[in-house]
Amino acid sequence: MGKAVQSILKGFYTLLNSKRIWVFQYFMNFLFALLITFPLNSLMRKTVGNSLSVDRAYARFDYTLMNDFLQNYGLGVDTIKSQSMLVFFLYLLLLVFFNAGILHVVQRYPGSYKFREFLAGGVEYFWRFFRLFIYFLILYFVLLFIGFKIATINGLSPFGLESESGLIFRSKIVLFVLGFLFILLRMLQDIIKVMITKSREPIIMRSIVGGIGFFKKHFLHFFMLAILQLTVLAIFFGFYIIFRNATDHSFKMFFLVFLLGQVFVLSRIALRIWRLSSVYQLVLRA
Amino acid sequence: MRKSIATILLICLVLLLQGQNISPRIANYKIEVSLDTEKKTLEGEQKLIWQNISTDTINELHFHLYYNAFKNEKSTFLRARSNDGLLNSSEYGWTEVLSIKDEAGIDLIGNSYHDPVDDGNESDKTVFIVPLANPIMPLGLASFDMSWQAKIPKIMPRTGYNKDFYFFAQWFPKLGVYEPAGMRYAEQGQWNCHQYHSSGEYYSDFGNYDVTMTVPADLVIASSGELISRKEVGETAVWNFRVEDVIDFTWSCSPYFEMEQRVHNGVELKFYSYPYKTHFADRYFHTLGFTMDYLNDHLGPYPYPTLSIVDAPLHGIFCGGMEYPTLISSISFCFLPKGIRVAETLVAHEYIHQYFMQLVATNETEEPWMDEGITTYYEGRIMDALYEGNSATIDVMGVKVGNAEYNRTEFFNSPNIKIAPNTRKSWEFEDGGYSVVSYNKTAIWLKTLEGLLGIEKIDEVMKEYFMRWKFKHPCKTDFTDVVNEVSGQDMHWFFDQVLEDVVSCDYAIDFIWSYQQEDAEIFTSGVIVHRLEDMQLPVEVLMKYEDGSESLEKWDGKSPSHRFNLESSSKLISAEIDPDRKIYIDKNFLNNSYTSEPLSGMKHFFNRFLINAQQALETLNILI
Repeated sequence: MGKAVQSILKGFYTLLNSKRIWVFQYFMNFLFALLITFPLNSLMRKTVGNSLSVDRAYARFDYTLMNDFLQNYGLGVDTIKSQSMLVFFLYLLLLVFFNAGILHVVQRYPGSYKFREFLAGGVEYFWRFFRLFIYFLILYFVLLFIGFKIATINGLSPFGLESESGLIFRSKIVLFVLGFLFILLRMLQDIIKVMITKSREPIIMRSIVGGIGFFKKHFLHFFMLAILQLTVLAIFFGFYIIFRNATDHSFKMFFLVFLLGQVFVLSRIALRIWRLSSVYQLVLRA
Repeated sequence: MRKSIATILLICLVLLLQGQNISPRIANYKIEVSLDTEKKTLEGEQKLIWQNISTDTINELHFHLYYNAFKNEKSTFLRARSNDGLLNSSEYGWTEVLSIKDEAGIDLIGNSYHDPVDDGNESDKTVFIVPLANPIMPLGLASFDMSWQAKIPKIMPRTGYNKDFYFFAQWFPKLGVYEPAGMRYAEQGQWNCHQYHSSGEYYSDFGNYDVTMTVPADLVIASSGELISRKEVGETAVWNFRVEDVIDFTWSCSPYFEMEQRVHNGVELKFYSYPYKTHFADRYFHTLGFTMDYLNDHLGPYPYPTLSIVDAPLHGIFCGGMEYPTLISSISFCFLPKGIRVAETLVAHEYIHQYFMQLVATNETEEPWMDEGITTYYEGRIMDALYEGNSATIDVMGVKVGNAEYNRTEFFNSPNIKIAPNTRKSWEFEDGGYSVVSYNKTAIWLKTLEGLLGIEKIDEVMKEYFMRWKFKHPCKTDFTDVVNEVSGQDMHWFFDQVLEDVVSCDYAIDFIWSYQQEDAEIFTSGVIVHRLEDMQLPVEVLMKYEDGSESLEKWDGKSPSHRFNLESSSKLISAEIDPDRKIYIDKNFLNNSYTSEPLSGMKHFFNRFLINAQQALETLNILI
């Protein structure tokens, strides 16, 4: 427990000293979000920009108006959806780059956190981190598939099932197990990332094997760290929900809602840096 | 002349006798049936007592043998459904009439034959014609003793078995309706007995049913009517149910049924469900109680002493959401949260059918909108009244969907809203559209009619329609006549568009302007309104001015466009067509209004989209 707490505190110190990296990632997030939002906003202005319904639809969830919009102007929405998928994919690649950059500077330049080195690290480890992402993505899909098969072991046909209660019970168990496995695998993924940047080897398989062994050996420490990280995330999320519910329904709260939203996005980016640096710190201490 | 007088006197006598009952009691059945759960068969003996209320001499009887729809893959029913891969040959169902004897003891089975009256499909054996040895005289009463056997199909829409669950709808040889000249569309006396089609099923005469079922002793029966007796004989139990003045009789059984009983307004309500779904009882009874009170107030009393509700298990899903006299079925899923009101909607809908189709006994096969459409209209009214704030269908985590609006979007989201007029017969919807036209479109135009006439007037119309036509068989013109008579308006221009035609409706405001000339105190303003589709309805346009004043302008909605020229002491800032959403059939409410003022909602939407997009992008990191 002590090592986990020390690591998370040290990770937080790292976070405070990497403001440029942090702010840069926030602006990239903001820019990509604008690429999605502007076309949608422009479509709305062009089609319903003068309709009194817009204010009514914002005041409360209005199924009728939402459907009328999709029914009558849905073609525009479909186009924007397709464009947005591309934006999401590009941002995914960018996130791989960010992860690589963060771990590079955390390891190579403790205390200085130079922005240029962050970019250089991103370039150096990009393909290795990308491969790791693909491997884990496949693993997640395999686990999901196995979970689905277990949950639906008696089939999915309503005519074949005795009742839906068995299916629901099994699904709940499977979801719980998958959730637990996901937490462990996420931690393992982070450890392997640290191993990759530590070893600097172009072939990542050795880092993967090493990471698994390291994780097994220090399981309890890393599990504690994962719990601490999740607790921090839950606290952040809880605050956001409380504030959002207190503000989101009022037209007058425009700036407050905007600021709150940005603070939360910024916090999530900070949490990413915090998470990776605390894993690195625990690898050092374990 | 003397013959005519005698006929009239006889009719008067029959009417007088029938007047003591609440229904004409034309087709009456006493059935004894035994269920073999091993062989999945029914063996039946039934006495049919039929009253000829016409002045025609009847030479033949027409029966429905509904189970023959599942006799082979070429039946009209299974052709329409492409069999869905649901039945293999061992799971087919059929009915065979073994004998039918008249009062003289003559077995008429020898001359009987099947007649595919609707489509000429020789493989369809669902209509059975029995020529009579002794014709039934005008106003005569006749009885027939029939014996039959049936193979129960593996669960199919509305009927069959699956595992331990049985649902018996349209299960016995049932007589069609004899329509004398002048009744509905009949130009001369005729039997109305359609084949069993994939959509639409109900049309029968009123009568009394006395049904005795012999089943394995462990089975619990849910049934139409009142339980008169139950006694165990060896390994079987004999149940007897009776019900009067209904058009059909349905029952269901399972060893796992648990029954919860309550009484509402003197009606004995019985809820049958599997053990893992008993917690739905309160949800059902709450909605059902409100629906019963609503219809009691708005139409008239429910005239039967019982109502049974069967919550079909998952493997009996095809039988959930059905309506039969004094027995309705629903479907629920044990995991459904209270905010997703599928079970509530179904029980309300099926109960409303007790009024429209069961009491006002329209022909669903020929005019499905009079059955399903009117029911869906009342479903919207009742559910939206019970669950306020547009939350009757879904109310989960801030997402609220009302019933009427759900039905409206169902219609407008369909691939072709002009696929067919409302008057199309159920089996003629070969390319789809049965559901959206019969259910949803009808509900929407009835709500539009409510907007045009006013809620009080439509309530008067519907009450009069119900009181005048309960225990009878009305058709389209009977309904429109009541509307015209009670509203005091000739509404044919409306019915021509919504019933006979396939036009759609969309009114839109194109532009507004308002300016003040120099040295003038008056603002000159204008509004251009377009009719974008073919339907023509009178519309109201609400004008709002900068000083907070309002004016309501009217337009007959006939020309393709219209310009309102206005003069006012204040600047016109917005115009809105149909502000109260009376024209519910308008397919786009978003273009109904126009404002020259900046909309704060637009920037709030931008804000929300932006933050949500940022969050979604950041969430991708969970995979990296």
